[in-house]
Amino acid sequence: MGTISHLECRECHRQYPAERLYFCPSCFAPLDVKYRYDGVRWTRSLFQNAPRSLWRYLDLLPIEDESKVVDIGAGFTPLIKATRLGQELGLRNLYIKNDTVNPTFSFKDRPAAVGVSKALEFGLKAVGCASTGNLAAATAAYAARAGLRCYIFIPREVEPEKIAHAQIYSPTIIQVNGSYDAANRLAAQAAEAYDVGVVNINLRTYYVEGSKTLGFEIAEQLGWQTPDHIVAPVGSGALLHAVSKGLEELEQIGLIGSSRVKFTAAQGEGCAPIVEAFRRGSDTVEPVEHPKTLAKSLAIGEPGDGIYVLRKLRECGGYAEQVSDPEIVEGIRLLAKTEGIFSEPAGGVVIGALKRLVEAGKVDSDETIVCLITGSGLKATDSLIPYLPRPLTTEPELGQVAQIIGR
Amino acid sequence: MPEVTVTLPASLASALGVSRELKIEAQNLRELIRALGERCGTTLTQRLLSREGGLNPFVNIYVNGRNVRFTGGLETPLKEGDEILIIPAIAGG
Repeated sequence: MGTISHLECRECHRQYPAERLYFCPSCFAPLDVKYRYDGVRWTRSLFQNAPRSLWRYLDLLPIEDESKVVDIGAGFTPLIKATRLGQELGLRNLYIKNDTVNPTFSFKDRPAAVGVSKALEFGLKAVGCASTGNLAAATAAYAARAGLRCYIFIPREVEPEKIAHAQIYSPTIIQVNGSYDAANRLAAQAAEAYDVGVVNINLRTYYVEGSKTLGFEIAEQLGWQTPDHIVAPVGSGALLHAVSKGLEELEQIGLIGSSRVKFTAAQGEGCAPIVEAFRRGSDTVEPVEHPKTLAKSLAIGEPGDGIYVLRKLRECGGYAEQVSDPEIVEGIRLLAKTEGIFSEPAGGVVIGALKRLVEAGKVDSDETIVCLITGSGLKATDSLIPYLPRPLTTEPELGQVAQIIGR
Repeated sequence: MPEVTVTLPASLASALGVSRELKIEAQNLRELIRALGERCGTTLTQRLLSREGGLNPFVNIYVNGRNVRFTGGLETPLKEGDEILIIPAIAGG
């Protein structure tokens, strides 16, 4: 069971009790959940019979009453050695963390599961989120499972598949005539005005803890080792920061040795404020007012955790890469045709960024590299269709097939 | 001097012992932040500004729904009836 010690401001380090607090009232910075790490007695053998979901890591998740856990099987997704993609790119130790197979087909199952569980623990009757699409379905699904009302704020531009997917769980969907940042601002106002647990706003401190389980799993699936390099898609930056926190916690409890993981932050051209800041050598992120990228799930113009991504990249000697729409599609197709995994555009951004790293000589062919593939391609087929070849057509006659197969 | 309405996050307003919604007179955002300090205590001004005197990167301020980082930052002009929203800079997930 979760052994929370306190909440701590990421900037001024003031400590607060683990209540419904989502920013530091002293300096507005985000809060992190801190645990009683010396009470966590994880051993490698302990996990042999653990649940095959993110709840195997309950000791380092912020849920204190196990009866409030909302579970539809999020997490413990496959880590696959990508031999064919590796050959294509000249990399011998390339892995894909395939989070497309989560119950709602993206990594957002992880934070949504934790956020909605925490809402139950706080006794809330309604939850919600601001979403570029993936979180919408995830929050709605966990709310359905928990029997909570659900309010979803989405921007004007969201893939229609993602709206349909969220709608099937019967939440109330509020489509805001504006960008993601406008939807997010309105959700923040609603979170302040009503007793709703907006998972990525006023439950955010707890919610992001779900995402760090990606880091736990990668280490566990590599035999409690860390990779040399993780390539992560970056929208707000919360995922990259959370994975890094997860690895630090494993070090802290002594389950892994000193971790020296290098991170690469991957963004789509047209909404790459973190990549731009990294290139400028700046510590501050200049927001993008009108994001325009095929990777709509990463189209966050005002990335809340941007400065933490910048700090992490500098501390670990990492990189930041931005890729164009055609490179995104090429990345999606390359991953699908070499490894049989169909990713949404965010995964195309990751593969495109990896390709750029290879071409620039920034990665070694023997490095252990993990690419985070965070959402299923079936969530964004509309945007891919213009880039795909038309099927061959034929009359139902074998003679015509012979001209195709028998050539 | 234009009068505007400022909305603060509930937890911050209660920590400062002030109402969530305040009527303030100011010509631009910089003046507004100074006036808020006079009304609610100088710690509020300190919280809204960075050490270098710019806008605290962890705060988003919106004038009629538009982030002031796109409208001139602290020099953003204000007019009678403007609605100012102050929230933590949290976005995405």
